[in-house]
Amino acid sequence: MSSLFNDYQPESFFDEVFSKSGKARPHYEAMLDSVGSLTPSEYSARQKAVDAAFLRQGVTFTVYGDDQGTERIFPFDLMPRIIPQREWETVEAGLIQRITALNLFLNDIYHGQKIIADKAVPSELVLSASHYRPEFRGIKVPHGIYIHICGTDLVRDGKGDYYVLEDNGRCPSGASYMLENRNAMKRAFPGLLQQLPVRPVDAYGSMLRETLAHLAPSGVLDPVIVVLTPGIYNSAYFEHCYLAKQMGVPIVEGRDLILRNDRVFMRTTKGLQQVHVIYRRIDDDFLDPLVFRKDSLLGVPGIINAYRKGHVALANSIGTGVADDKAVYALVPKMIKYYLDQDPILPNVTTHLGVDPKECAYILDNLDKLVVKAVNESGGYGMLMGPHASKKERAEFGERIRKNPRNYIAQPVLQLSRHPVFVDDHFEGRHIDLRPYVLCGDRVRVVPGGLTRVALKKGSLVVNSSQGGGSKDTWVLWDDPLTMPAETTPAA
Amino acid sequence: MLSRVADSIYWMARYVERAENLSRLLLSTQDLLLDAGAEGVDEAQFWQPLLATTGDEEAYSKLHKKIKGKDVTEFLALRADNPNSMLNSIRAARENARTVRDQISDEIWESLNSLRLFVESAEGKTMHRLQSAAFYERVLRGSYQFQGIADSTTPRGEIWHFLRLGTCLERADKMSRLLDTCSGLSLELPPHAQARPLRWAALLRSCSAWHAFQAHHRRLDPSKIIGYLLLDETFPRSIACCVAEAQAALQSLCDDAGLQGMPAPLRHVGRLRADLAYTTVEEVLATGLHEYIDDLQARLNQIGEAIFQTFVQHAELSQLPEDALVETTSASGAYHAHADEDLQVQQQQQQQQ
Amino acid sequence: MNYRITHRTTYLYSSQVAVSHHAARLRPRDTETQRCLEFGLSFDPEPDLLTEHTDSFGNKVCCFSVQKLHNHFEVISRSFVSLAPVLQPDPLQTPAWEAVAAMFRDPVAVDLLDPCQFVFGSPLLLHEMPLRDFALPSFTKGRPVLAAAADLCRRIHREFVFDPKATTVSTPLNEVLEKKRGVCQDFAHLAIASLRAMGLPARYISGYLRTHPPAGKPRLQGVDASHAWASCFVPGFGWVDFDPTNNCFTSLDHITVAIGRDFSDVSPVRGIITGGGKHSVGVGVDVEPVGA
Repeated sequence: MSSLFNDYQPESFFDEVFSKSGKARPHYEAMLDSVGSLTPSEYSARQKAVDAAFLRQGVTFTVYGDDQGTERIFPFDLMPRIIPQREWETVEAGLIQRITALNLFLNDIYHGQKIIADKAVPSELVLSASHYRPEFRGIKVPHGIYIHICGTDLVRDGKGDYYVLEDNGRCPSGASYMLENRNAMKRAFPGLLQQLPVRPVDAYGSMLRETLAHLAPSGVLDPVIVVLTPGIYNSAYFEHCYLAKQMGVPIVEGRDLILRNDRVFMRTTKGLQQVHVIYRRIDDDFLDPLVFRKDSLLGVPGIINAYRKGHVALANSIGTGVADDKAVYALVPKMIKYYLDQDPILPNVTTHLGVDPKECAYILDNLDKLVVKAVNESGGYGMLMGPHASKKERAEFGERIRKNPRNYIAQPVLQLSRHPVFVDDHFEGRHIDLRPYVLCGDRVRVVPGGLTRVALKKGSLVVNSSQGGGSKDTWVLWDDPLTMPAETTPAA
Repeated sequence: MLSRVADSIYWMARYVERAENLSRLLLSTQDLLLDAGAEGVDEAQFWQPLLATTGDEEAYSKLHKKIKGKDVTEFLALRADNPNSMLNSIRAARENARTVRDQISDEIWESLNSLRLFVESAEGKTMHRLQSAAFYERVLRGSYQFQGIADSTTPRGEIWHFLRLGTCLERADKMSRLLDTCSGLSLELPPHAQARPLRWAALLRSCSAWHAFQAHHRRLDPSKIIGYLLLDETFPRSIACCVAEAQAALQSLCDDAGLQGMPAPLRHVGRLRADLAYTTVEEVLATGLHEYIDDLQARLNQIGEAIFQTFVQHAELSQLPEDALVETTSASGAYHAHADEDLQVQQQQQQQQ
Repeated sequence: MNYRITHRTTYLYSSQVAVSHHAARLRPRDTETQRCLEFGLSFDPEPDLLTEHTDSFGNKVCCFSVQKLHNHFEVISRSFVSLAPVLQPDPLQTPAWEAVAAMFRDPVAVDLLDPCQFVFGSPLLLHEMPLRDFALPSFTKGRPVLAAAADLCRRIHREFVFDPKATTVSTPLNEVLEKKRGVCQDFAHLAIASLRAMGLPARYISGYLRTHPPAGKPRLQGVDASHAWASCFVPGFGWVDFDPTNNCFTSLDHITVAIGRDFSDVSPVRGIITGGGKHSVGVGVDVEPVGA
């Protein structure tokens, strides 16, 4: 083993690569042999080459606030995170179970609301969720699916058990980085990828396209699919273009679309072309100024009418934000029980709901021990890291909770698992999570692996890109190379 | 192809050409100064026509009282508050490319991105300060690279034709302005064959026409120079050549779109080409070079408008009479330097989880 | 009581509009005490597309688009509505407000799920605007809910001044609270937000108010008003409408058009235009009593 891992300390955390005894876990052996044979400067050179390639290609995201939106490359650490197949099987089954329950829940909430009538979940949490859209009740959506693309965040605790941290069912992003990371690895460690039975992810584009095509209005044999982006100033614009290109479909902005006879058309140089399915990366509120926010400059007036009539399909559907509410997240195990009569395969993290007066009191008494989150923020904002916060910060946050308890939940601080990350000239442990991508179309498909996000700051538990996070490639190893499923895009 | 995409590609090409023209102009003016330096000429005389060409005289005079070389070059090349500066043109070109990233080849994107990274970098700024000629040459090469990559990686369809349209119309426009700056000059033949009337020489140099012209003509006869740059269909930067190529591109686009009859842009460009083909330089000079160019620029603008109306707006307004001007609240087109702030804020607000 | 109602909305644009899309909630609703017997919409220019649907609050929505150049647009609704007297429970006989609020805390009974959705915040009345302090004086211990609502209504009428110049459609509620001036939309919002702050469901009603000309004078045309008021829920009875602008429970003078959580759910005419330059809107309402 080269000097790269000389002083590497897993410490008290669950380390993905090294077990408590200091030995490498079996699924990492081959990787360590390969990395171990490099000197620090050789390794560093490969890392720099990948960074330069990302910059040149513009694999970036925009950070708002400083310098009117600087573009940054999403920091990428070369050493992949590896998951053996048997571990993945459980994760996959858990994710499929979860998205199935979520879609049944959403279908119910936007029609009969039986789960509330049967008192299986409290009405207040659901009906007061800020992304609940009563305007959308009663509208039928294709195949009753509301969330077509879901990014569910998973973490591992000190014992290495997987937990679901949250579901992202509105506009989950990061799939483009997942694909670009794999490309970078192919350039940096070509031999290793050929040697190990790593399940490919490059079929994502076609899987996504198939999922979207499934939503087309009946009778349309060759549906026109588009990606609807807010525009070039949005932080994830790179991803919107990338995915459009992967699927081979046009990317449009709201102003490229118009309604004619309750159908959606694209304005092209040859006239109007009808659009059947829209992969939209715009919030519900900005989609249709005739129904939601009337000051929206990004939307398409009348598009909800077309949706209502079944002339166009939207992925993800309207109103899925109910499921993203962190308080509603706490109810998912109940949903799984109610709709599927099963116990959750992947457990939730213990969650205390501010809306319950007893729990609220508990939260306020234990701010120094808990992670408190606002139910609708993402990107690591609106969060209090109890143990790391100052007394003043805790007091301020406590005030906010008192003013609007329904808006907050708290969870115990999890000792997230760690993975070696290259810092200067050696490896150090950093906390990570996992975001697999779940596609729900004619069937539910989970991309093997996903995006492993890394909290790059030493000791930090915040993995989001906007707050100093980075990513790694994720390799799911198939046990037997001979029986590995063919997931590569067919050479067309 | 999306109407907005067509508009962006057209403007991407125009902005690259704009930056290229500027760098060529700056290079040749500097050369000219070096040549003239020995004869003790007031440098304002050389920089002032440059400012006139880009139409920035007023903007410049707001910032600087005197016309001094260093100020002018900085203003034209790197000032972020000059919407026509090289910096802003390259930025705009790159932003338009970003808007249509899914349509253009990766290499085109990378070449524009690298160019922009260079002009915005500290290295670029230092280079401009210490060796401005090297800076302009770098920009020039960046533009050539863009054109070369575009030529070798773009399928000959709508995208290609809009690229050529943007380049040719911008080129024609800039050439016309350049010619205009010489419209006050004397048209007398130089006294003897070896004399080098500096302004006319500079004119030829700044459009890389020096050698091409010399191949045809021994003496720097001003009226022949005007004729060459205005009416000769063989020289790639001459107005006639640009118009001819624009016509070819428009013909392909109209055929592609299945437009019936003679659509407006095709009519305007066809008429212009015919006029240029059948005019002699004597007729031009009889009208007056400045007046002729004024009219020419109006006609070039008319072609640009007609392209916008026909290919970008036409899907929306099926029965729009030709001359009606309609403003759209949501600009249906490309990225230009001062984009709508509200739009920008709303775009940024969209949560990407 | 029967009414013939004409509601005219006129838009004028300083430059041509290429495309406009509209959603109109102009058709008076059928309720327990109201029937809309005739209804028609006329337009100038004629829209190229006209569709109708019912929204999730039960309002009839008419969507139409004009897809040719125009520089003015007018929509006129004409309806014939028949009203029966509204039966109100005796406010003092209604359940205590605390008991009602408790019914809307989980677990909520199945038959209360429908009104339950009106307890929470809505687009214009966000949860973060606690009006509890303002509402509290009306909600004394054990007070019957309808009596409390009536008191709230009285206080709004007394403490606030009706002033069309003070606010616009987008003035936030805390500004109204500060200035103590506003119009019917603001007072209705105030009443609704107050009720919700106490944990009680409340709805927003848009409609028409018949105005009575001064004694001896003839009825003027077109000066009647689009009006807005609030609605509070009484378990065992149902929704009871009250009008804070005029400090009364609704009567045969109030004609209901649309119901929602707040103004954003019931806008009479809502449109998006492409082009148009500066635009101005004119509204004229005529409520003509018919028959006895």
